[in-house]
Formats: sequence, structure tokens, C-alpha cells
Amino acid sequence: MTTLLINVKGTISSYIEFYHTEDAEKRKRENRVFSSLEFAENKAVSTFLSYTGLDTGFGFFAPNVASEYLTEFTLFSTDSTLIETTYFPKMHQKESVSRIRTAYSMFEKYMESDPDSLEIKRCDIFLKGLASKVLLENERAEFVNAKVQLYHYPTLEQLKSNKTMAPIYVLLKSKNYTRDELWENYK
Amino acid sequence: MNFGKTINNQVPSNALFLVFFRISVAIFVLVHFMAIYKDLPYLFGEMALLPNPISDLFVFDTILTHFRLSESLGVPMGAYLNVITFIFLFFTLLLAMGCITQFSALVLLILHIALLKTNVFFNYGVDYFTSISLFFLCFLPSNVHFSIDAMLFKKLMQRLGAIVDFQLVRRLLGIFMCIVYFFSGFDKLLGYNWRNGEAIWKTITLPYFNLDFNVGVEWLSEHQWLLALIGWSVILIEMFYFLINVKGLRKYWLAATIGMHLGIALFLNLYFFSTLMIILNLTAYYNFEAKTFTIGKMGKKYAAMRIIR
Repeated sequence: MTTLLINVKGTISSYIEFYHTEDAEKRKRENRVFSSLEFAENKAVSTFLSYTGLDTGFGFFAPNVASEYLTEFTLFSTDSTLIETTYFPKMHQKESVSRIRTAYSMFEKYMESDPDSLEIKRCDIFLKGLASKVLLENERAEFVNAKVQLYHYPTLEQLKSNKTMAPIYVLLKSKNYTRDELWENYK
Repeated sequence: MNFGKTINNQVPSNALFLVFFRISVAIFVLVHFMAIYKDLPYLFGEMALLPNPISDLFVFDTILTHFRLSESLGVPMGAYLNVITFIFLFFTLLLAMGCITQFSALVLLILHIALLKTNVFFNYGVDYFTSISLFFLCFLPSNVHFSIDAMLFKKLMQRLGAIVDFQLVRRLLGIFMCIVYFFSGFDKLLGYNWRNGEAIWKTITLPYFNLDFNVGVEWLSEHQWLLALIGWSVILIEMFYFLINVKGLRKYWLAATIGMHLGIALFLNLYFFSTLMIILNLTAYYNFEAKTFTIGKMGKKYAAMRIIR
């Protein structure tokens, strides 16, 4: 029963967010079924759901497949000579890459207008963490330029009108980080 | 009392699915944990790429996390994670062997959730299904047969085995799977991109997917009908998964569902997610039946698993 209700809530939420991006929150509040399922946000209920693994809907990759965000890290020496460009911090194990990549979805917030929002600050912290790891991997590097880009591969519709259309990269954020700025535990 | 003797006792065919579920989930949890072991400091430790105190803001204070526990104990996260790793591995072995089974599953569930909630942004689909599987194992009588518990508490397990309706347990697991797939398929149906092939095209051309085998997919853009067909196939397999309960359709639907998950493994390289979903499918619907055959030198007959249809 619980999983049924959580899934109904998840379905309504993802449907509204996909088709009514502009006023999704307002529409969700106005939706009677969704509102009646708000009890799942209650601390006690949410804790119970967390410990059963049932705190999510099962509409993976739906109703739309989410866009991907790419990172690019360019390392420079003290005299600003380019040393290396890399796209992801080096991890020991592949599954770790999958997990970190999951968190990239938060970069969607960079497309929102309020630069002081908590979500954007969280993105900045995450980007700094990634950049710091890349910087630590190269002893010669003094600073790193970190970029976040939205990746858009041509849709089937676009390819119909232009068969040679190349992927589009939309720059969302670019920031430099020096060794001096690293967090204490990274130094 | 010896393990061989216990194995030799034929496991009732209607209880084999639970033995399979317990052992395969325990092995899965062990391997999945080892698959991130070396990077634990960067995911959940002091060097976490998204620092734990930040992630901690997004978790209710009623939930136990390793970060909170290490802070309250005053133990550095690195040392704490080493201890947790040892405990985690120890209990996965206990679960696999069916030793204090339900308690082992409970400990693993708590440790697993505590790890996930330490940094919620590094979780994905497989983690929810791992939690669900461990939660089920906290209650399911998966230790009635083929377990150390069955040797240590022989009479208790025999009594339990006599009163448990294994078919009912299996039916409930099946209902859960039907709900999972129905919503997974229904949510896709709501997206027009799944109906015209764009979603499949987008999935297979995402930059971080399809890296391991690098399957050439560009030619598919010339055949949108094929992509739409794959999209509709996924929707139908998932939404109408409940038809797996029709005996005549079961092996075909099971094969199609497993095929879909193998496709996810091949193109999206989500091996752990695919593996766990296949385990859950087999547990709920694979036709386990006692079959006798001879193993090696021992020359004894053991229960085994097979598809009978």
C-alpha cells in the first residue's frame, strides 16, 4: 500500500515537472491527490520509508530521460602554462564514477536565475570538491579552471533537418580554484 | 551435525526461491560494497567531493548516518569507515551462510542506510532496491533451509518451515514487483519522448553511457521506427508485467524482462542495477524445482534449480 501511494505521488510530481516546468510547484500544491499524499514528507513517515527503501517512486528515466552535465578541468602551472585537460577526477573504481555522476544532476540548478540560492551554493561546493581532487592529482598544477556544461545531443527531429548536426555544449559555470583555496583536509 | 548432512536434506522446491534470494542478495551486497571500497574517502569520508556536513543538511535528524555517528563518537571518519567496512563484510558473510539471518539482514540494512544517508547525492536506483531487498530479508524466513540457522535451531526451523506459506510469501514478492514495473512503465508512457523513440535515442547517446562496449548506435537515427518500437516495448514489458502471473506467459515475460535488464547493462553500463533487478525477478518468478543430480566425489543427490517449462 505504502509503495502504491509513494508511486502515485512520484508519478504526479514527475508529470507536472515535465509538462509544466514554469509553475510546477504551484500546480503540485493545487493538485488534490498530490496534496493528500504530502504526509510522506512527515519526518516520522519519511524516516520509516527511508529504512524500508520505499522512499522513492520507480519511474526511472521517466517521463523523460534527464539531460547530462559535463565537467571540464584545465590545469595550469604557476606561470599559467596549460598542463592538462581532464573531464573527471580520477577514481579508483568505476562504480564510484557512477555514483559521483549521479550527483551531477544537481548542476541543473545553474540554469536557474537566483545565484544566491542554497542549491546553487551546494553546486559551487560540489564543483570545488571535484576541482580540488583534480588539482591534487597533479603536483605541478597551481590552479585549475573548472567548467560545467549542459550536453545536448541532437534529437531525432533535429537530425531529420540537419544530418550533420553536432552535439551542443552550453556553458553553465566556469571558475578558477587555486591551491591556496583548497579545504583544509585537502591540503 | 554437519553442513553436508543439512545440504543433503532436500529443500522443498517451493522454498528454494528464498534460499536463492538470501544468498544472491548477500553476495550482491558484498560485491557492490567492494566496488566502491577504495573510493570511500571521496564518497563518504573526510575527503568527500561533496562534504558530508553539506549533505547532512538534507537528511532528517531522525536518521542515523555514519557521519553523525562518527561525529558523536569523536572518531575520525577514516578510521570509523574502516571499522564499518569490517562489520559490513562480516554480516554479509553471515547473511549468505544464513547465520542469525534476520538479525544480520537488519544490521546490514541499518549500515547500508547509514552509508547512503551520509551522502544522499551519491545514491541511485540500485541503492533503493538494495534497501528493499535487505528490508525483506529482515522478515522473510529465508533461513528455514540451507542455512547455519537450520543446523543450529533445527527444531525451530522445522516448525517454522511447516507453518510458513512459502507460496503466499512468493506471491507478495510478485505483487511488489508488479507495482514496481507498472509505475516504471506508466511513467514512461506519460512522456511523449518514450512513445516516439526520442527517449531511447537520448539514453544511448548520453556521454557517460555506452562507454564500456561502445556499441555503434548512430545508424539508428535513420530508423526512428526502430527506436520507437524499442521504447514501446519497454513500456509494454513494464506496464503489463503483471501478465507474468499468467502461467502460459511467464517464461516469455521473464525472459523479456531479463533481456531488458541485460540491455540496460550493455548500453547504460548499469551492471549492479541490472543484476539486482534480475535477482528480484528470478526470486519472484523463476520456476525453482527440486531436481536431483550428482555432485562430484560425494555422490550425493542435491536439490538444484532449473526452469521446468
